[in-house]
Order: sequence, then structure tokens, then C-alpha cells
Amino acid sequence: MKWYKTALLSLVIIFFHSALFAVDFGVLLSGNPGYDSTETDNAFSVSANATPWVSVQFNPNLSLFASAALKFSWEHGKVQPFLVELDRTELSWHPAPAVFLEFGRQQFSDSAGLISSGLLDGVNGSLSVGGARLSLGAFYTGFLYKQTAYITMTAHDTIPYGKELDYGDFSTYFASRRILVPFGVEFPGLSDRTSLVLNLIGQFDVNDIGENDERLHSQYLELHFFIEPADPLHFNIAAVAEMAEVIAEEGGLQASFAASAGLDWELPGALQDLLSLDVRWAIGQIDNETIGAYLPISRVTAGEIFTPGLPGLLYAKTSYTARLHKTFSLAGGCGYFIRTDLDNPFDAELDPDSDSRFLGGEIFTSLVWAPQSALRITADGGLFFPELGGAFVSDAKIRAKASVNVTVSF
Amino acid sequence: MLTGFLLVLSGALFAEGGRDEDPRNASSDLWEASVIDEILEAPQVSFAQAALFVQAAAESSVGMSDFPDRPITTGELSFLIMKAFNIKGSFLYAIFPGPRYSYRELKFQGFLSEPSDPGMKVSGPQLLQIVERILNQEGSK
Repeated sequence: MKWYKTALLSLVIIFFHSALFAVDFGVLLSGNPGYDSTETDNAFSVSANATPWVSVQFNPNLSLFASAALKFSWEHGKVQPFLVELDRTELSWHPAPAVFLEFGRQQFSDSAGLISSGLLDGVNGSLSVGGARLSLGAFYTGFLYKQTAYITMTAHDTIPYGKELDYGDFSTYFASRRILVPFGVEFPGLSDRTSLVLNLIGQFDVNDIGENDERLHSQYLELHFFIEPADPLHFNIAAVAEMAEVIAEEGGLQASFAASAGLDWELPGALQDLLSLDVRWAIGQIDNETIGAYLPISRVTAGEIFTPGLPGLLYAKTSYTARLHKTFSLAGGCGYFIRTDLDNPFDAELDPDSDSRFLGGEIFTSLVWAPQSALRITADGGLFFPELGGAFVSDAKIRAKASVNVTVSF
Repeated sequence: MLTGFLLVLSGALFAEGGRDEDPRNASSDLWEASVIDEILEAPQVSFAQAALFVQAAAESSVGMSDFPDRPITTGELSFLIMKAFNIKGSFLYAIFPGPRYSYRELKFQGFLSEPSDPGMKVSGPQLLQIVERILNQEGSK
């Protein structure tokens, strides 16, 4: 218990040393009705969320932000268990101008969003050296809520995941236990118009399971290159190489790959329009012992309306965003899906007799209206057309999704 | 850089609609270089300094008679600015007018730099930067 007392004493010293600290607090309340035509029980859903938060500024170099997420929802045709989660809760510290440290539950994502994104528990630090910024972290996933962590699961992980949430049995709450160690190097000014980010991430499965159960260990190397060929034009390309080992499964260590490219064009004009083109790809299952399907750390999806996992898919989309007013922006776009192998993605309406690679296309739109600092309304929706491809059964219906979110900030 | 910033600030101040008088020659000597230098060098601006500066920039009075000499916070400065520039806030500001929702309004409108906190003390350069942003927006209306 010595470490506990030391930590508590340190906090007390910080508290009294920073007697003039500033505190702010508040709560976000939101309502979220939605419609999803693929839901078999009931296409409609509604949720009410409350996010209380507190922010403490001890001094210009040390601050604490803590928040929680409370969710009450009616989904799949029934009332879901009341959900309580620790949300973003982090202590941020600048011990020196070039050094930044964050402790606690914090947002983490690799540069291109092809490996992992979401909240993680741990520590992350960065150091600016010359024209480069180095970062190193250590995170644990075992305290996250299983359904919002989106950790890629092994067969063993699916057993606790499938159990209904019961606050009397914490094994029904937590996600699979993994330790992540990300290391990154950023060169923001590689040249006048280029920059480069390198990410190395290791994932270690530390679940307390039997010798014959599956464990997923994986390592990722990501290179993300940005270039600005002309002022309103931004281009980026990213590639990921993965080495994954699912112990207790035949085959051992396998390599796999993923990639993405994007182009943003900020159109000149008063509306601050943005035209975007994005392409994402990840290798699927192929008949090879050394190369396997891409296994990201947390679920990486393709698409806005049809949202399968990225492995085995090539997804291309274009979208157009216009800020019509200071308080109002509107976006719309379309995308198309091609599968690179016949085993991915899994969908109940895929035709097992079809060898077509073309899955179909989608259109989507979203609007954001923030008429006041205390009020924000967003609406999203779209349609997926399986008949634009040849992989679904012939009578597969058009899929529709729509949702509205109203948030009031007290 | 600093000279350019002051020129921009002064330009914005002088370009305020309907004002053809140099504020330096008007009611106070607030715009004298020594005063601005003093504000720029101040690690913390007092409530009184900020109030005089904001009111002069807005050419208004917020109806407060007692400006303490203690350091002003970002929240208090935000409330002062809301009053001086007659900025309409959210419905929560209408119900509970004060530093809390004033700070949120100015943050929402992009007048405050990150990271910021309503309880943080305001430095001289921060005061000038915030007032400059507001004057730029007022001037573009």
C-alpha cells in the first residue's frame, strides 16, 4: 500500500501547492433517436445520455479533466441496461516546454486511423527534439466497457462479450485485456509542403486464460505521408504492415497489410467548401501461410451506412462539405465497396453462390447546426444500394440509416 | 511582429464604425504606447486595467463602478466583454448572466485561445489578442 500512500500524498501536495487553481464543471445532456433498417428486432432506437465533467487548471502547466458517460437506451426493441462509463479522464502535464505527459483515460489513435482509435487507459508522453516530435505510451484495455472499446476479439473473448451486462458480475463489463505500447515519430516540417508520421505499435494479449485458448499478439508499422502540392490542396497516403500471432491457432505468425489515401480540396469561396476523396483498403483472407487477414487493434470500419470491418475490402468515397453559415454546415457524399476476397465481409444477405467482388454503393448526408454555444443539433442519414453490386442476394433490400442528436451543454 | 500586432489592433480600433476620432486624443490616454507596452508586459492584468481597456475599445460602459485591482480571470473578462460589446449569449446566459456562460460563449465564437479555463488569470498579450479578435469581428459586421 506504500505506492498508494505516496500517490495520495503527491496529490495533496499538488492540491495545496496550487491553492489558486481554477475549477470549471458542467454536464452535457443529449437525446439520440435513430433508425436502422438492418435491425431485425426493431428498426427504431432512442437513447438519452448525460456526461458530467470537471476541469481543474492547477497552473498553466498542469491540468486535470474528468468525465463520465451515463446512458439510458431503448434498442433492439427493448430497454437496455443502464450504462455507466468513465469517459475521458486525464491529467495533463507540461514539465518543460518540449515535454508533454498525459496520464489516465485518454483518446488515442494512430495517425491514419487504420490500427486503433478510441479511449485507452495509461500514460502517453511526447518530446520535441529539433524538427521531430517523439511520443511513447503504454495503455491497458481491460478497464474499458466491452461494447464501446471495439477491441478485435479472439474466440475466447467472445464468451464474456456475449453475456448481458450485470453490475453484480464485473466480468460481464470489461473488455479483453491487452497492453498496447505505441511509439511515434512526427516530422511536421519534412520539407516546406510535406510531413511524415511513423507509428510503431505493439499489442500484447494478457488475458488470464488457459494454455490452449487463443491469444492475439500483434505489431504494426505505419507510415503516413502528407503533401500539400498547392495551398488549398492536401494529399495524404498511409501504409500499415502488421505481424500478428494468434497463439493456439494453426499457422503462427502472419503478415498483413492495410493502406489509405486521401485528398482534401478547400474550394475558394465564402462558404468554406471542402471536397474530399478517400480510399481505404485492408488485405483479407488469402490462401497463403505467411500472409493473413488484417487484424487491427480496435475495429476499423469502411462506410457510413453499410459499415463492415475493413479487412478484405476496398472502399472509396467522395464527400462535399459546405459551411453555409457560421452556425450551420451541410455535408453529402457517396461511396462504393469492393471485396478483395470472398470470405469478407460477413453479412447474412450475401449470396454464397456469387463470386462477384462488387458489394454495392451508398449515399449519405449530414448536417450540423449549433445555433448557440449551449445547443448543438446533428442529423445523419443515408442509403446503401446492394443492387449496385453483384454479391448480395437478388432480393436484398435497400438499407437505410438515420439519426438525430440534440446536445445541450449546461 | 509586435509592432505589426499593435498596428493591426490600433487599425481595428480606429476603424470602428462611426469613429473618426483617434481614441488617443479622446477621453483617455489609454492608447499611448507606454500603456500598451505595460499591458503587453503584464503577466497578469488587473480587473481595473482590463475593464478600462475593454470599455474604451467598445466605447461603452458596463455599468460597474468598482473595478478591483486583483488579477482578472478569463471568465470575468468574458463577462466584461459580453456586457461592453452587447454580445447576445445562449439561452443559459440569458437565464444566468455571469462569467460562466460568458466564457463559454466567447470560446464557442472562437475568441479564446486553447487551452483556456474560466478561472485562469489573463496576461497582457492575451487581453490584447482577445480584444483584437472581437474588434476584427465587429469591424467585419
